[in-house]
Amino acid sequence: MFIRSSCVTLLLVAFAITDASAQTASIAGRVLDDEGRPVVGAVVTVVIDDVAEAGADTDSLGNFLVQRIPPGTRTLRVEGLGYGEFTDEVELEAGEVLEVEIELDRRAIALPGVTVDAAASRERFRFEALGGPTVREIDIDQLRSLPGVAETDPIRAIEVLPGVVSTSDFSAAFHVRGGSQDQNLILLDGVPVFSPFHLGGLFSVFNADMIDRVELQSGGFPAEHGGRVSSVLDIESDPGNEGFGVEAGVSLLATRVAVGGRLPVSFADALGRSSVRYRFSARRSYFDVLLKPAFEFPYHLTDFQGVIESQGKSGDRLLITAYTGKDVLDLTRFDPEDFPLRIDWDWGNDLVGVRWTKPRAGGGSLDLRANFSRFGTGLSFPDFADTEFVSGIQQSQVRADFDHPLSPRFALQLGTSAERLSYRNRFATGGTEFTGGEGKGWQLGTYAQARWSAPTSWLVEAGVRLDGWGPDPGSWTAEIAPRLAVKRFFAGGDAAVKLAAGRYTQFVHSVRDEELPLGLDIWILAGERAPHVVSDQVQLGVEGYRDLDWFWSVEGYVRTFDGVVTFNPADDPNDDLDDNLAGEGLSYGVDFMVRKETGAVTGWVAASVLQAERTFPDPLSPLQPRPEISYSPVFDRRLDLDVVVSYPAPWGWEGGLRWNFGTGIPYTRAIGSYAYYSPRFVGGGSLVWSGAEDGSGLLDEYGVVLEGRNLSRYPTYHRLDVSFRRTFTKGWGTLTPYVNVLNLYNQRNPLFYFFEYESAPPVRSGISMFPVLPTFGLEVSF
Amino acid sequence: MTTSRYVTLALLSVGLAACELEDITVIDFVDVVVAEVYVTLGDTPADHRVRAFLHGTAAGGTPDSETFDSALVRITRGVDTLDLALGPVTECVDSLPANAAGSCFVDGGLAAGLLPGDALDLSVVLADGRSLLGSARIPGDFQLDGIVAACRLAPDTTLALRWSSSQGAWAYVNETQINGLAAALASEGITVEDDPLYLLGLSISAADTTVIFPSEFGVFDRFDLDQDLAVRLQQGLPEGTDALISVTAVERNYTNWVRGGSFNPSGQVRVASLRGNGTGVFGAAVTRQFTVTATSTSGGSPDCPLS
Repeated sequence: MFIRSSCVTLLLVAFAITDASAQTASIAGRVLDDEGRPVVGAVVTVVIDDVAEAGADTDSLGNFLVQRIPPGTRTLRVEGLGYGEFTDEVELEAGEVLEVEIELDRRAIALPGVTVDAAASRERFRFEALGGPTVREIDIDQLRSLPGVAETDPIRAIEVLPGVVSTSDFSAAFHVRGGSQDQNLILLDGVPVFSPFHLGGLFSVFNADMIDRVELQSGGFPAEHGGRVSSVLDIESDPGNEGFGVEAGVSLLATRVAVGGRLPVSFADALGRSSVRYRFSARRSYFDVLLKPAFEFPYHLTDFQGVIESQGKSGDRLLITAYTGKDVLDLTRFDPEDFPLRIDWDWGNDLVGVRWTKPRAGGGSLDLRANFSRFGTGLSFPDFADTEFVSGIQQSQVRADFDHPLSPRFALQLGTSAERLSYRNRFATGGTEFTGGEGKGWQLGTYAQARWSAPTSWLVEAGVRLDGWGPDPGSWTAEIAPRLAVKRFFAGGDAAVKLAAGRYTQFVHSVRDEELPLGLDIWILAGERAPHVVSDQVQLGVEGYRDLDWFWSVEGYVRTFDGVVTFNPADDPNDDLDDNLAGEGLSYGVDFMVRKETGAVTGWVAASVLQAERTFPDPLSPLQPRPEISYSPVFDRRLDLDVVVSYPAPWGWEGGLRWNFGTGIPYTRAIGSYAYYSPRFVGGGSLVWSGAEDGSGLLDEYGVVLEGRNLSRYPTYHRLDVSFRRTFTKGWGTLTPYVNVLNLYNQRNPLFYFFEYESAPPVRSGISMFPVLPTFGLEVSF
Repeated sequence: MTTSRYVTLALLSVGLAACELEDITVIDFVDVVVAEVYVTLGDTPADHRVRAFLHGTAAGGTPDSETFDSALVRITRGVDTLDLALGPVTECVDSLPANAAGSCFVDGGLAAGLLPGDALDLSVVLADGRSLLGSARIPGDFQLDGIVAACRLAPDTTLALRWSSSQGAWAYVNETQINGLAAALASEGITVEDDPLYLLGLSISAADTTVIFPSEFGVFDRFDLDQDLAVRLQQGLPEGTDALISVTAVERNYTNWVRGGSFNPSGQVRVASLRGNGTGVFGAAVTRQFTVTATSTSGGSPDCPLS
């Protein structure tokens, strides 16, 4: 059924792209900057007798199509914020499609008190061109100015965006607008990444030297995106734009090196390409090597990333992305006296993606992708062969997307995809399997999306997505997900009211205990063990620009989540399918943002007001149907405020500052404790207290009486981070030392409270998140 | 899952040693009764027993000091009623923290009439009127394959234990007490501190009816146990040792209570099966027990069945 739908889709495209007018002419082309990179959002205008008669904006590949131009000698004008203007005379004949390639010079535009660069241009273009999605972007310069834990981290950086909640300093995992962390679609150049974290979540796997920009779609994302319901985090690699170069760095986390460049033109030409650019990086933590003479440090991480981008002579682009990374915790080489149990634990991601984008002569583009991604972890005890702790998921995907402007005001986007997913989890020791499961499934999706715009007036996007999911074991199911977005511009196009509504579906879950600040995802697929997630979402907002350098937005939203899961604390071992409880969620809130995008001092203030709830059946209730229990999930931070500033510090240093304030997140308080006696049956049977006689014991020796789930809240969280970096230009390249100070005023934000009722007097102690934490590093580029 | 939790906590402890928060005195806490009630059916009716241990929650350095001697602990099976009688605490508990107390209730031999598969209800009524209620079903009968009360096992040999399935069981608790290890392994340079040595294994679900002795016992002790000893036991028992082994079918309530619930940094979260003014468990089990002697000399006990 789905393959047939896809064929129909392709036929529709073929029909739609037929030019109905042979009496007029068209200009199709591509706009590049002086380094050969596509210029996004440039305005292409055809001028007749000093009047702009037709026009179009360039897309993400710099392509444009201007149609229905009266034949004759016409003036073609191209403008892009941050670029110099291009003007040329062209001669057009009836029925002709003139193909052009235009190069714009990068040029800071001097306006009173304002400097506009290419990134700001892209933001403005997005404001004008997108109706539904709430898109927030951080480019590499902003990324580097944000204080990081040890080095620039593309995922940690998005914590500062509106609608994004982080629950712990120790985890880069994030929650968007009341969604669980597994509901974020994280893409590296369009390739899904399942668990992109090192050290159990402390750092992301992405090396900033390889990143061009990070874009978060926190809501209202269009029909082209499926598979996750909460957000889309798109991380774009930077294949470089100059000759051969090396970037290297050392931080308290790791050493890293990235090599990039451009193949000689003759070599590219021999390949039939106009340019081939590449960048490869390697990163490794070094404490295990550094400390080896003194003692065995058991942990290290490695990752390798590469990207190759090739532009074809016909304007097509081939992009190849690959990543492999692994964390290793090796406790097998310790002195048995110090650490008797030998453990070897590793985890990591591997992915590769190939993307070919072909601009069409009539405008628009065809985008073909093939991706493979997997995440896995394994814990082994070399001395005990009966133990197997493994968890893994993998996904293979092919997809095709058509983007076609039917007219300057109306565009159609169509696409289809096929994905194969599989997972396997097994936790077995001592001859028994404690928990586990495996399965696989096909996900077939197709979508159509239409976009109609009246510049500076209206923008309407309407789409529908059809996803079919065939789990094994399990039976096929299908979900239709309509999407609608309406944007009404006012104030001369500088501001807009927008409304977006849609249905989103998801067929994978992570069943990791979100109460734990560190941990690895355990993925399962929807099917017999868990339902799929259906989320209905509505968002209404107003946003706009004041002059060219201030952006502001206010957006409210309501989301429902049907089919979320949590682990079942009372699952029946005789029932393989009751490991998880299926429930529902609700979230609503308002996000605010004011952003200064240009000038010497840039930054933003983001505020998020959120209320989230999860509801699950009580698995312990003897009543049928089981009553439900509702609670605030751990990411229900009611108010989250971020202030981010980049500024020129004295003596040529660049300063960065981030202050985060958040109301306390929920936790379940222990309100009493009792000595836990282990029952023994052998030898007659009795209860045994396994702690010391003086009453001291470990966690296992005391049970706790809990209040209702997540009824208490930690105190307000706040933290100030600062960073300073300066680039010294040398004859051979640049040298950039940097210093980050996290939690400058040493606020003790609780990570956990421990309630110890067995001590005299009963006390609440705990551990905090990061204390004041200075880190430093050095980057070299040549 | 327990192992990964240990590792996570160990990493957290190492990483966060410098981030301790100041202690704050907690003034509000609950004082509730914890009832741990177990019905265990042995190999013969004379081995059946019911024990109920009632203790309190800790309160400011006097853990579990409360007693509930006047409580009425009643088990019913249809119209049959079994009221437990107050007994010495040692009847219920082998060891407990200093200054801790509680009240132990015993069946007084009246449990002999209980049968595998029986559905039971429990009520605990305290002197002040607080009460706890629960219900449980005793797992079905089962038998060990080819095992008699005692058998001989060749040294350094493992024994594949098998048994019939117990209807309604959620798990089998496999326990052993091994005697004589300290003397037997001294010549190998392995120090054994506990003699007898207690080890625990598990078989999860009614259908998981096998376990390898002794290699698959002690899986939860691998962090604490001397690794040389743990690895040595993978081969089997050394010459001159003997072991008491039990296989116990347990039901839902026992399993939930023992395996614990979601993570909480203050202590183990036990999934209770009692409702009312307190917490606790009403567990039921059927146990089978035998002894193994590790000797190369035949002629005493029959040989254990080897597959």
